[in-house]
Amino acid sequence: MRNASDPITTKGTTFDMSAASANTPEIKLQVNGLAKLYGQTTALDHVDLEVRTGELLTLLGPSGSGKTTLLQLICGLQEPTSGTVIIDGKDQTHAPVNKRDIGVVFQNYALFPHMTVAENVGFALKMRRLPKAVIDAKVANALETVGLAHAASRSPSQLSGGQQQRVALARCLVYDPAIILMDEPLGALDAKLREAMQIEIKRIHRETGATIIFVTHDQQEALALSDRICLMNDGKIAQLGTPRQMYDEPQNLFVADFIGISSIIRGTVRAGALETAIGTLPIAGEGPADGTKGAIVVRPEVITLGEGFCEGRVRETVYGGSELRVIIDAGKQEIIARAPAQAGDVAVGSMVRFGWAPDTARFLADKG
Amino acid sequence: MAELSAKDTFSRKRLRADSLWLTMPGLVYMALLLILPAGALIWQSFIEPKSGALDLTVYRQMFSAGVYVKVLANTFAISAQVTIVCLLVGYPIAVWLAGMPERRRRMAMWLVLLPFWVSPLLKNFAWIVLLARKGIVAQMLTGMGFDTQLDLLYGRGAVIFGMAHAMLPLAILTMLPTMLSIDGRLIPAAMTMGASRSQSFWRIFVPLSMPGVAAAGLLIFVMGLGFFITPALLGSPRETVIGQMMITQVQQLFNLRLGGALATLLLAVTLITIAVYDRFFGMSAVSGNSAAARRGGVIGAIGSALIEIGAFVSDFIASLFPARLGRRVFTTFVWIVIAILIVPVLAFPPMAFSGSSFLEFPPKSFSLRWFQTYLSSDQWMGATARSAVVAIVTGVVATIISGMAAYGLARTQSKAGGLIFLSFMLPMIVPNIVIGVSLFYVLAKIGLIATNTGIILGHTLSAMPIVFVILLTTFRSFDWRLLQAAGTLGANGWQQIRLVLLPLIKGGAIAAFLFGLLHSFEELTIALFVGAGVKQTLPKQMWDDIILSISPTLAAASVFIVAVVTVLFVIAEKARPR
Repeated sequence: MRNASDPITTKGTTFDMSAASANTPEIKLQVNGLAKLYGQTTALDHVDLEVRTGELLTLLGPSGSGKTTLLQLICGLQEPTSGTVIIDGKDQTHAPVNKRDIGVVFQNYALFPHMTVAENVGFALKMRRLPKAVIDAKVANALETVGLAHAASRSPSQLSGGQQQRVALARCLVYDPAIILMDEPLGALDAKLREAMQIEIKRIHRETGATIIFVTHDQQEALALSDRICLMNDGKIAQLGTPRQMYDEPQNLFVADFIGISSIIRGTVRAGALETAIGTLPIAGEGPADGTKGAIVVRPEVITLGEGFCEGRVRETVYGGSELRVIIDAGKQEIIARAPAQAGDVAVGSMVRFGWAPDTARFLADKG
Repeated sequence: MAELSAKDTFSRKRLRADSLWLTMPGLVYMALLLILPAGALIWQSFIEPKSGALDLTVYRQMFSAGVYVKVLANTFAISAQVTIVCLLVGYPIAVWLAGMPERRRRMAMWLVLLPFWVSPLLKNFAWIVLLARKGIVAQMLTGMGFDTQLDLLYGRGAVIFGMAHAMLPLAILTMLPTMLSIDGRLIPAAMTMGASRSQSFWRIFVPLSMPGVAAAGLLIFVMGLGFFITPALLGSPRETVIGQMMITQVQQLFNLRLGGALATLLLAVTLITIAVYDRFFGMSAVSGNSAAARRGGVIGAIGSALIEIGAFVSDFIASLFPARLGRRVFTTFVWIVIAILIVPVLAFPPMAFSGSSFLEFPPKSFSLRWFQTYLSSDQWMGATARSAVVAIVTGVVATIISGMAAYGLARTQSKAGGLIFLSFMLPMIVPNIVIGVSLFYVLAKIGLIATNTGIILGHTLSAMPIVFVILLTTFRSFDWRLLQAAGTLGANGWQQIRLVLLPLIKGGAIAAFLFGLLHSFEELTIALFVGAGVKQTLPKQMWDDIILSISPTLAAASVFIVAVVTVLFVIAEKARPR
């Protein structure tokens, strides 16, 4: 995790964030008890969140989890039912959108079709009544950063999806807003371009030191991009942490299920082990109290095939290039394991033994 | 897979060859009943009938007599003024509609669509009563302390008001689609970048809505050039326009050569207007698939200057007054306009049920006598029956011809498609009165004048554009792979059409038929010439009565028409696919 005092690498002439960040508080955005109700339905349920200066935080969650609502409340496109939004130490809860000093990269970019790329990028500066020479210089600079200096006088419709994405990004970078919000910005791109843009965003984030909140429903994207991930579910934060924490130490079953692939084996605790339909499974460390209901969560990569304390029938194998995913039916329980692609001799329909080292699995108690 | 896709391209190629010929009946129809007659009418205006030599006497006569030049100037000025009023008043209404959530907009649209489908004749007739010397508007104004001897009718003001009122729904309906196609996130995007509400409206919404405004401007102006109903009903002799001149020349003086010369003039002016428009805005804006082209040059410079001024002024005003006040002023304006649009339609029933022997609003007593007069008059009943028959046949014929053409056009990838589309729009571009006079000229030669057949032929022609557009939209939105899917599942050609195509296009076809029917039911201009005073349609009967002597029978007939129009139009709108 980088914090504000770290030197920010800037390539050539980019954005003077380092000077600004020296006297800005470490907390860029503070959200307190933010709630949004639509009639009877709760879109956002009293969420508290702090975003640090210069970090890239993803809001991750399934659709309807409240991530887009949270984003809209932060940028002021919606009014919260209760709670406060504090940006740079100033209460901005009821400030109008155009007075908040935030930048938004919209889902389908929302580039102005009647303006050139340069006019699009310069729009915010024009609204701030900057002199034309300054606008031109800053626009050229921003387009340089995203590698589109040559396209300044084109119209957005003449650009490819990836290029439009860069223009949308440049349009935010150019006026150096306190926070840049990105609402599923890569959703419209194909897989290859998506990955390239992820790397691009990481580079631009590193070079500019901008504070970015990135909304996505794609956990791979969140893992790849983020300094921290805020996983949302049912209008609440399910867990907040670094990608590694989210993957290795999920705090509840929703997180374990949502991030990465895992086999979730339910049961009841008896004498430091979990009694389940496929047998009594060991729990690492000090076991929870007897009678606790919960589940063992096992990642595919820690499961060993061919030996172990469980047995099941191979239902399906899925070839994935570098690995072979093996889906095993142990009674009614589904187990997902992974074998090296070269192994190749896992026959569908055959019985196979499997297991894992107890300390590589996690026990998570049911909620409530 | 390879086999399948090969078959796919094969069938598409076969269809391409197949489908374009389906537009032929419609094109032949256009050629025989529009291009040929108009051409003949224009031709004979240049030819001395006895010797057959080129002869420009009528043109010399036309341009040397000051009255024609004055009428031409009148026509231009009135049309331009009406266009400006329609755009200025219609734009806020369209903005209001565009800003609504979809469901509420569907409801609010009825407030514009109903006046749209009530003919100008009826709407203007209502204003004759409402704006009369001792009428309700004059009384209200007098009550507010204005002059007691108010002459609201029979002047330039009344003509502009009446014409703008008649055309405003069209202006709104033309501007709306462009506004709806503007990406809803652009305004929030502009605001996150620091633009105020009025800044983002002027800099983003206004420029992007301009293609629609330009298209509406063209439509209103071109239609205004051939419009004669309002100047005739609400104007004084000083507001005489070309259309009225043509009626006089053709119907009273039987001077077809001068009539033809006037038609030539009108057509030339219309085509020049369209050419100029195309030069500056491009025709794509009219057909509605413009990708907001950037414009340089004069128009662009004027446009951006206007936008800067608008943004500055509205920001300035917004800084003086609270936002809520501005919104209230806007809403009040919208509802006043909507009320003015709807009032004449709602005013008919009270006038018709009046017991008085002259038309008055509001009525002082209640009776059914005028309905009895209407229902017992052979003349009125005959006209009503004729209009009904003519309208139904027109609807059927127009739907069949346009349906074939729309199917053919929807399935072709040929470059000729655009040209064919324009051909079917011709009856909308050529002023109705030119169509009327040229049909009068040609049909008289083959004995079809003053026949129901003649009227049907003319009505089918002028109903074609709207019927065609609805059917084309229907066929374009149809997913043709469904037929291929049905084919792979074992349906033969006829079964594919009967079980898949027809059920899915039914709504569009019904709407097209009903709109064609409605168009014919309310059409006046062509019936005026082709009916030749012998075969009276309902609108023609009304026109004669309004010109000769206004009686409450007219109101009774109007109630009948409005009822028919409302019912059919509600059915059609419900059936129409979106």
